[in-house]
Amino acid sequence: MKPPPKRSRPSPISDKEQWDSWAKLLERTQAGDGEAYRRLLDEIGPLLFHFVRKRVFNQDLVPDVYQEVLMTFHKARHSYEPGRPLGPWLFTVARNSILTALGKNRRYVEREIPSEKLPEIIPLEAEGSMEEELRGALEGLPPIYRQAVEMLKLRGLSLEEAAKEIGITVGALKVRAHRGYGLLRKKMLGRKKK
Amino acid sequence: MKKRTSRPSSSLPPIHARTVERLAAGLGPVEPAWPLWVQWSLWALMSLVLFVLFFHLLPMRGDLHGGDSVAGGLVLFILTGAGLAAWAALESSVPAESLRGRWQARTALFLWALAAVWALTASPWHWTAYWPALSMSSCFVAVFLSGLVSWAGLVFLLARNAPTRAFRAGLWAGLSAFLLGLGAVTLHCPNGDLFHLCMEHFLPVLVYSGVMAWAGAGWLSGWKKRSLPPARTKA
Repeated sequence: MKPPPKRSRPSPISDKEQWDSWAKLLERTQAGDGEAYRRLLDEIGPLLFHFVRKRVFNQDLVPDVYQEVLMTFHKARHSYEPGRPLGPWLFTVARNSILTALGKNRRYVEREIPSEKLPEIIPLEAEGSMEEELRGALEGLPPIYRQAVEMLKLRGLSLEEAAKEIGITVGALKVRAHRGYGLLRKKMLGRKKK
Repeated sequence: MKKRTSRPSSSLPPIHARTVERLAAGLGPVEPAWPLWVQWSLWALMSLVLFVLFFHLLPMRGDLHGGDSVAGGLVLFILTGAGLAAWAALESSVPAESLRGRWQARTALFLWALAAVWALTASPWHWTAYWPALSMSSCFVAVFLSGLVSWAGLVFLLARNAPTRAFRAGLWAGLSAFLLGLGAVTLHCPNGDLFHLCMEHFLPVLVYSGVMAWAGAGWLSGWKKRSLPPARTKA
């Protein structure tokens, strides 16, 4: 007699009832039921997070990639056809958004500047005329870059705090700040030449 | 705000709760995707209308009036290929379906290749000073014009879904639409010259499929650019 196959715990993927219940929640989500949506995301969250963690080697990126997966899920929720199996749909969306997110992060990493190399907080109080020039140059920046520079250098927030407040990833914030510093430098040099 | 009845697992990162709140706060009803067979039927209906329109606009070639089975069979093969390519395009635009049904894609390619080989072997081998004075103004353009409306209609249907690989979906859409255009042109054009068939009938299908897949990729990726509920900022 063959021994029963070893199985440490039931796989959620093979649990048909569970998937059916999630599919029903997604159908309610499509109808605009926010509570069903919260419940669905809370229940499939661990599964998706595990899926992401297995595929992203850099563990620092996992939360950002996971957030990207949730956002893609949100944007693609209309494309689920009620009555069809949810699993293949969910994992295709997740796999695709992981690839997209990793592609974006690869670009961020290439342009990333270590925090220790970022310019120090500019002492505005040191020189009155400099402060005016700086404020003028800062106001001339596009809003997203100005916001990043102000948060990091004027308000002195950490990268994590500022990213959380704006609602973007740390990598994206670094890119914005870097561009902001570049534009600010150009504007300041331009004023000095004049 | 509704009271939260579920609790996220403790193994999830803090970003989970924030993102869920953000997404759920701006949730609105959406129309679920239509079943694939409904979408395909819509495409088939549209294509039928277009094909009848072409049939009225362009006079049918003489040999088809006499019941030429080779030419008639060729058109039938081309249209079958267009239908299968449309199915493949629709499948590749729905996340769950994009992993299934590779046979439709392979069959479409096979049928198209078969039709090409059939057309070439059935046609007389004329090297009639056609090259290099290749006329780029007749059938080459007609295939494009005949397929353009069908392409726009099919891409409209695809963009309502969520094509995870926009270029692939666009490639199938182009193949389907311009095969339909090729079918319409084949009904009209009696020229059986090898180079004419190669350069002005079959080549345009490939060229336009690639170009329009590139041109339509932005349209097909539109679902990824949909706006999300705004993040909450501290006062």
